[in-house]
Amino acid sequence: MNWSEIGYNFIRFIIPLFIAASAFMLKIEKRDHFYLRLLVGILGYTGIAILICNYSENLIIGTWFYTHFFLIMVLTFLYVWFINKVSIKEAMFFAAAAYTIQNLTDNFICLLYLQLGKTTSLVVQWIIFILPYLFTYTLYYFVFVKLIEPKYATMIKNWVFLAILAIVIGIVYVLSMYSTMGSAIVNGVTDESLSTRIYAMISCGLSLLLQFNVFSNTSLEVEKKSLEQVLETENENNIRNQQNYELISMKVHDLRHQIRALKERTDSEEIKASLDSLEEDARIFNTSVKTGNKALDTVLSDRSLYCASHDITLSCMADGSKLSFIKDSDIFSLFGNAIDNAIDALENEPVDKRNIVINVKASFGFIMIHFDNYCETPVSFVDGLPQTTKDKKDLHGYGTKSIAYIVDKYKGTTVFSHNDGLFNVNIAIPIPE
Amino acid sequence: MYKLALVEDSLSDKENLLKKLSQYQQDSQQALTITCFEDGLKFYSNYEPGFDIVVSDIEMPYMNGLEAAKKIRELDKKVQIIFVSKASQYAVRGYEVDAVGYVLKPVTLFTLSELLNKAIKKLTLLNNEYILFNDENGLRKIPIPSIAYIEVRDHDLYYHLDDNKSYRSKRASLSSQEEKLKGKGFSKCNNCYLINLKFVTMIKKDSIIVNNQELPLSRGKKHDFEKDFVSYLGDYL
Repeated sequence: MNWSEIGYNFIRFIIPLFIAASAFMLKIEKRDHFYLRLLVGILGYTGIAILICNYSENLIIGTWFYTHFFLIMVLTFLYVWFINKVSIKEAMFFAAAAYTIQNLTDNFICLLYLQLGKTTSLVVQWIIFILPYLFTYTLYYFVFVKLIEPKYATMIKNWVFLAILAIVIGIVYVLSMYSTMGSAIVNGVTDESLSTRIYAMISCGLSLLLQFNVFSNTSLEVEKKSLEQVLETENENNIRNQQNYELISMKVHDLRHQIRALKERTDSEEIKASLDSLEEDARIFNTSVKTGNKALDTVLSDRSLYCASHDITLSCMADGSKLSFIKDSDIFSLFGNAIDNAIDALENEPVDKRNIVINVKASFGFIMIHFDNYCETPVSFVDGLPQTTKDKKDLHGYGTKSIAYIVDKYKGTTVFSHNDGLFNVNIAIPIPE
Repeated sequence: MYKLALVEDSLSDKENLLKKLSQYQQDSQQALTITCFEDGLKFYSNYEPGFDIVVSDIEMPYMNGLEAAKKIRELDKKVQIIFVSKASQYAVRGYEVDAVGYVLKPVTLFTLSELLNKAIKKLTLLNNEYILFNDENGLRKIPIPSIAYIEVRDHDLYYHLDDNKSYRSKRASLSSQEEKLKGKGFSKCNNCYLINLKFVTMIKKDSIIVNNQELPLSRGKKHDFEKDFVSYLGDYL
């Protein structure tokens, strides 16, 4: 075994790559029996890496194409896949990122060596070797590893994923190898120049940026999709509500007629009085408002039943007749979410302040929608959206998000604000001509 | 001091409303002169402008407060109408007379106060406040609601009014006027124009239509301008 060759490979290439690949461990869910797997992983990785390095000379294709780099890359992918609960695609994605950052740093170090000369003392050489890694890996950890949601990696489109792999292998692996070693052999001149290194660094940096960008775009898309899914489920519920509600109001209508008929047939004041109170009770269920838009009527009636039983009043002045260009499902979600948010906020407030104001009006060529409710607790805003005060964050942030999303779909603007103890939602949607 | 008409046929409801109104005056330090009308028919058929706020029951004998209010809206564009109603069904069309809102019986102080606050806010906006400045001819006074937009050009300010007249105020800064007009429904669409949002009829991709004139909307200001516009319309809805 050629130990000095193996040791050199380990220090310069394999160990840094291993660290970069392991960094994802901190973020991803691990497989069962993790520590056992980690032990097997480290031992297996080291063993196979030693073998690969030992035969690296035999693994050259042509004059400069070192396949052992590629084999180590595959090994790294297997290692990531073996210890973490990730799909093959995710493991490839992470291995590619690790390979890229390692290569970037290695080029950076070569650049420093070129500048500072190789004649400096061994201590200085070690410092030049370790400091850049500390620097780039810290950056890599905070900008790349920490910010990504690993679960989105599987959802990257296949062709985008293949393109990334091709770029990483093409630029980071093949091209950098050719530019540093290949060209020297092919042209007979060593081209260890500053510019080659700088180009290599930039390529790696851009490649990493591309990977991160694809990633965050994918996560945005996924979020949009899940938002649409939530809206879809809501819509199904609302259609069911509408049917229930129509049935109830029909029955209540009949019931009140029957009560009235009974009242006329009796002379007993006592019976009349109790029939009166019965009629009054039935009236609560007849909360039908006629705004000129059926979807809006349904959502208002549905919520006012709930409000009536929770001592909340709904003061709604609404011209629904101009809302026809908005899809029913969107009206359900928009008004439903806004009212639900207000209800949530009011349930902890004193009974005499539990009032929700809803105004809908067409003016200036816009549909103006206004909600307000009493809210003493301060509200914090991120990107103009109020932050949920509830514990179940991932589920409940959707209310205001879906309002903004729907309004945005109709090219409208949503403004959430909190002032003078009132929480306000103002919406303007241009009426299509 | 605001003049308020209270139109309510039921005695007990009237007493309750008066109690809440006097409580409101104490809490908010707003002075109201209240005139009571028990006969809705009489109030609405003999209406003469002069009141700032009308608080009116909807369900009254032989009449519907909402329908009746349409007549007074024709006569009086400024008066702020607040309805009192037994049920939402009757008041949901309150927008037809530009009502501030309605309060359900039994009336709570909080809901009534919020509506009165809104009414007073709208009145302040409609009230004639003035801007004074020196133009070429001397000291000039113009009512704020008649300003369509203010333009700055070569260190001078130009006041463009809704009747398309404009006046020049020499050596004045836009930012000082912006400060003065804060909370009065003005917003900048770029660094040269301060717009009265009341006159904005359209926001396009990179311009706005104000008082039938097209003015450029800068990319940097677009977001804030839209937000100001929506808030303005929403709060006075």
